[in-house]
Amino acid sequence: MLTIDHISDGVIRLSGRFDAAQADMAMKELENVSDDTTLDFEELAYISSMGLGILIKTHKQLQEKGKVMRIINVNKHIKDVFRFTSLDKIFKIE
Amino acid sequence: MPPRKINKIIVRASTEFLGEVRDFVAHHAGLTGFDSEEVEDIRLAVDEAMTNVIKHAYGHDSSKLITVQQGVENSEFWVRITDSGRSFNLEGYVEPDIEERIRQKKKGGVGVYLIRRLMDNVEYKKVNSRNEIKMTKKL
Repeated sequence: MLTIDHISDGVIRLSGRFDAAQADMAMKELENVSDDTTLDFEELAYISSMGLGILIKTHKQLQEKGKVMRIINVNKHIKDVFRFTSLDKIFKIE
Repeated sequence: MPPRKINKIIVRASTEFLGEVRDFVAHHAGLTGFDSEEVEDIRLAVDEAMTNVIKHAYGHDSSKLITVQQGVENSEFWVRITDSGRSFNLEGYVEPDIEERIRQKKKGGVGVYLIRRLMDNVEYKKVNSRNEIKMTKKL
C-alpha cells in the first residue's frame, strides 16, 4: 500500500511501500508536478525498481523545466538502493 | 536427519499479490535470523523477481500462477520462484551499465541488476518446461 499526500506547496509525502502494484497510481499523482518539488520519504518503508523508474521520470520532467526534485527523510534501506543504482548521484537527497 | 522444511505459496500473476509474497518470504527470513536490513534486501529481491515474471514471463496475464518456495540449506536461505511463461534468456542477458542507464535517465533494466546486488547468488534454469529462478543469501 502506498499513500501520496500533497501536504503543502511543493511538498509531497509518500507513505508505505512503493512497488509495481502502486505504479499507475503514483505515475498519475506525480506526472503533473511542474514546480520545485520535495518528496518526503519519512514514512516510506520501501521502493522497488518500478518506483525508482517513476522517480527518474519525475526528476527528468522537472529538470527539463529547470525545476528541482528534492528527496528528504530517506531511510537506510532506500538510501542503499539509491547507492546501488547510482541514483544518489542524480537525485538531490537531503 | 529430519527432512528439510520447505515453505511454499502459490499466487496468481498479479502485482496485487506482491505484498503477500514479500511478507511470506520476509517472515521466514526474519525467523531464520537475518537482521531487518537483510530482510529488506531479500524482500526487494523477491519483489523484483516476481515483478519480472508477472511482466515479462506472463505479460500481465493474471490467470497464470507463480509458485514461490523458501528453505534453508547448507547455511543458505533460498527462495525459488517458478512459472510456466516465456523464458528469461540468461545467455542473452548482459548486465547493464547501471550508471550509464541512470545517467541517461532510462527506466527499466534495473530489476535483475538489483536482485544480483542484493542476494549472494542467483541462478536461472528451465526445469520440466518451467522457468525457475533460485536466489540465495548466506546466513
